[in-house]
Amino acid sequence: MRGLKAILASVLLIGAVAAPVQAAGNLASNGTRLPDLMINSADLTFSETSFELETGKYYRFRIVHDGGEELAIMAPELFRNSWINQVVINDLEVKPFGLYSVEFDDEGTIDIWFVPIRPGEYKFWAAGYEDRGLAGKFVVN
Amino acid sequence: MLGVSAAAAMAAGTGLIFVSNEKSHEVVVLDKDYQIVKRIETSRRPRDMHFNADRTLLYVACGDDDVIDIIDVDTLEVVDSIPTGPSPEVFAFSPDESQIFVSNEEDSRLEIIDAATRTSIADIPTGAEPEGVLVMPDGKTAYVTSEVADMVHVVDVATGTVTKNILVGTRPRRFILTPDGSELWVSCELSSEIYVIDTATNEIKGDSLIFVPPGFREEDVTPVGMAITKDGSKVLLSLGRANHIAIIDAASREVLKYVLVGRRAWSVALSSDESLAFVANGLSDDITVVDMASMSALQSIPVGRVPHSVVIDD
Repeated sequence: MRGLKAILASVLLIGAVAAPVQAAGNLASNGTRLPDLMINSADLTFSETSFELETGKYYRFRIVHDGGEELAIMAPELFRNSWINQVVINDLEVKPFGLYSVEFDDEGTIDIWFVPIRPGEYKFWAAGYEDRGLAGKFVVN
Repeated sequence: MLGVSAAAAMAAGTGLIFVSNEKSHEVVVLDKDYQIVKRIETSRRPRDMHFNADRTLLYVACGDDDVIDIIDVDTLEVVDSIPTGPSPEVFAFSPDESQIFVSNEEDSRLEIIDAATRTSIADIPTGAEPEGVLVMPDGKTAYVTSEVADMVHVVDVATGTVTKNILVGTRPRRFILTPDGSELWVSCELSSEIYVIDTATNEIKGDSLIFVPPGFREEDVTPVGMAITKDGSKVLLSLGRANHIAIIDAASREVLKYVLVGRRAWSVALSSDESLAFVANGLSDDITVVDMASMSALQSIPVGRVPHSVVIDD
């Protein structure tokens, strides 16, 4: 009996230890909401021009566009150096293998849920408007 | 064609000014004193507009409902709609008005519609997001811009095929043709340039043209709409976010005057006697009236959300 109890105790102990390890390995949970990137197409401004991130943390990057111009938001180097869990476009979810840019033909909201995996400084911009004020950077530590 | 032509034939020359408002889904009608006399509800996102030859009907491309609405100029009512491909933006009639050439932005197609039967008779692949459309006076050649491919496509109308791609500046938008048919001017919104194409060779003629009003940077200039006088001597060019139009000597390419108008000057149209120009300002939700003799702005008139085009029935 002592032997069986010892085995059961060991199993319980292993189970107790294993569960937190599994949870800790799941990066795609409890994401940090970054400040929304609001695009003002009348003034050609971004509400944020710099984001500080950490590798291995899960983030939601929300882009909100007023629809005044057709704009493609580019951040190819950030996306290349991140794991993209999902892109949510006006509440519809896309699960991509990779991402190059997102484009607004009209007003709306796009959320990009991702985990940066490599430190660096990565630019983001609106294609064609990078010298007109629509540019910024992600600093990943 | 529509059963309204006879009654509406008397409507030509009313002096009315029509403005399409993209975001308020209406065509606003102003009288000669610039008073709003009617807001005509249209299909969603009205953009480019053209009269038929006798100005009894006004055709309006409505991008979010995939139709060209037809307004009776006499009754100021939408009397019909022609279905198009997805997201019609700019269109042009063939010289005899038997065909409508329309750029379908979402499908990357130049569609040719038979005006009598309302059926699509050609669907010509273009670069992504086609916009500007121009049909030559002989009806044999059409030109269409692709905003994404940065190209002007040359289309042989008889075969419905693209015969040449001409690489121009970034995000080419609209055309004007000089009255002698020799030069096609193309506005390139994001590279701030105007390209001139020799229609005899379909080659770019000379260097691109850049017009920067005093106090502005080149990147503030996002040219879109153009108009040209009947004698071909002057070109009017809307400079977008530079909030001006440029009045240009067409032969020398020199600027005669920069005229301050509203925010994001978009389309520009001339009255038939060329004494006035009307500019649709997309960000200030108004139109500006420009006196051509003094080359100065007379007044701005609020019209509604995001005015796109202006046409005048005079």
